[in-house]
Amino acid sequence: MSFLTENDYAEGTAAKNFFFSAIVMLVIGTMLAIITSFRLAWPDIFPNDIPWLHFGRVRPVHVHFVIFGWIFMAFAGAMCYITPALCKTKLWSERLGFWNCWAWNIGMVVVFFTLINGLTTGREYQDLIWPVDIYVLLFMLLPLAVNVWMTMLSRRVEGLYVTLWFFGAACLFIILTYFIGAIPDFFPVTGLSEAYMTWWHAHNVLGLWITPVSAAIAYYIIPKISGNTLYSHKIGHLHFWSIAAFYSTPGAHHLMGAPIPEWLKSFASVSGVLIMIPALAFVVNMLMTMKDKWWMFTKNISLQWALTGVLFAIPLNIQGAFQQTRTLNWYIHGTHWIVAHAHLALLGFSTFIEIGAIYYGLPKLLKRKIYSLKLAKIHFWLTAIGFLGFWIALTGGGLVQGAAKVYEIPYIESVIATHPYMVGRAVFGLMIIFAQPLFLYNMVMTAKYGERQESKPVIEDKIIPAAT
Amino acid sequence: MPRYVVGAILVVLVIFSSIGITIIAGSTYMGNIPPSKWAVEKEKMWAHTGWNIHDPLMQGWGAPTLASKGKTIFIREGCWWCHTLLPEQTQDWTYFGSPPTAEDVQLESPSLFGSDRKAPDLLHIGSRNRVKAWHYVHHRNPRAVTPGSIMPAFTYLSDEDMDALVAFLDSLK
Repeated sequence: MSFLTENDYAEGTAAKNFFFSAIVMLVIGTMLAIITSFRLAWPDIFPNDIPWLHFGRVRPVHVHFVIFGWIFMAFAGAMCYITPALCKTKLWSERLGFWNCWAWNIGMVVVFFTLINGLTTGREYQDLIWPVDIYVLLFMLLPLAVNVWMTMLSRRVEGLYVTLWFFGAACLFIILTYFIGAIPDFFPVTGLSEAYMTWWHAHNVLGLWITPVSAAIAYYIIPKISGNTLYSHKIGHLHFWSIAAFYSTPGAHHLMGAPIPEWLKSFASVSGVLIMIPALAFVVNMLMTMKDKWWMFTKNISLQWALTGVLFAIPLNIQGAFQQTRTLNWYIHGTHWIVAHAHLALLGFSTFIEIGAIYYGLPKLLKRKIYSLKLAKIHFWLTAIGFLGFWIALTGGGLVQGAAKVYEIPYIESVIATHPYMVGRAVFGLMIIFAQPLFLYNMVMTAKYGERQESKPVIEDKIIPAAT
Repeated sequence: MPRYVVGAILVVLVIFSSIGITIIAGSTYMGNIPPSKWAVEKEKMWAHTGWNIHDPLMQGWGAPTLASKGKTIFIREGCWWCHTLLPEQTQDWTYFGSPPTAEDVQLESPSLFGSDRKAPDLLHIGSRNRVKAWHYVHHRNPRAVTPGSIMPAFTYLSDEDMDALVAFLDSLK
């Protein structure tokens, strides 16, 4: 495999490519949301003759660009940066990482054109048709996993830091999850089995990939920037193993109203509540790591993003644990509340941590200082305020829909009643959407004109001392 | 190639295949038996509930039913992002009818329960609204027949697509 490990790519190439691609995907993905959110507030605002501007076509593209494009590629960039740093070695193959990134970008082009033209499986979060599934597995997920695992195997330190446990395991989890979720595209799995596998996949893409990898990134950058050692490795263990145990099983709680076996719903619901354990272990560990260093929260832009993400994890996980129980699920199932919750997970929790990681890692990789801290602050406040308003509007709209379900008023009345909330969502959403190009601009200008600073090469990056 | 790489590949292959086999074998437990004689007979007796994998077997390749074409359009245009096919067990009975049973989705793929309801549930639309002309007008200009609706106006759908879509809606009893 010498053609992969030949050192003709500069150190950090893969991570830089992934980070910039991810930011571009974030900009495109949020831009697409203009169409979806405006369509729900003012249905005739765009020309109706163009299928590409219709809600049903754009919604899956938006979801895939922000998840597969932005979040996954930001993860890949973070993995290509953090794994070598914690292993005190080079990335196993910069060449593989580089081509993995471009295969990923090509994949996103394919995703765009298939979904926008209506070529879809009709299964939420597994919308891609089977040839694209094969491409995603072989050219997007597998090379990344191989790179991470091989880097870990060629490490020059003995112990593995918490972040590396999550990276190594999550790379296996995502391949398995994606493969299992895609089975109904390849084999005649139908009816309730198909529905169950679809939602098992949808749940575990979040539970076994997005949540643990976001947490792993926070486990690296928060101790690193604050200068404190990690509060507790034991809580880290608890977090890691309880994620694997409890987060992999509650897929059926997305189908509480469907005719799947009642025991399966109960099982899923109970393990859904148990997700509180890894979630709170993570939050406690991060907040306690900040002990005596809270003044840095407003001073350091990366910490500001990452810690805000950690704080969003608190309402996220309390909501997530209880909204899926029978007691609450009947009221809020299928309402805008759920959409608000999904954005709290992906935009509030995950994206904030990744943006923190990019503000920390990308200037280091470029050996330059951030071009404009002021712009970064504007980016933060636009996104944070925009997101909070967006979340409140959608949650309120969801509660209105829930009330309409209970009183069984004609459905159209609930559509009319939620109109103001949809307007609020569209307007606050615009704040988020306008903030992201500032991020891209800031990072491009950092690469071009940022003040040069000699940073130590990644290989000499000091490993975080272990606390017990 | 070092041995551990070969070993690791083998381990992964074994994990993949065993999980695959487990799930396919296990899926039979959840009311998803392979097409028995009874299932085929049932499909013939009942009006089609939409596209399913056995459609081609029964209709002959290249001759899907109109309703099954309609289901592909229902998926293509993303109708299911707002219209669920899942009246809930706890409410919905007055307007949307009884919740689905396993038979409602038997042999269907995708099952299209939906997750994000922003529009009326359609599982029993074929029993609730049988006026085809209403559907035709409603798809071209939803706000003409339902003031306040936020449904997209599907002005670009061809007449053939509309026929199929309405046949699919009519098949949802």
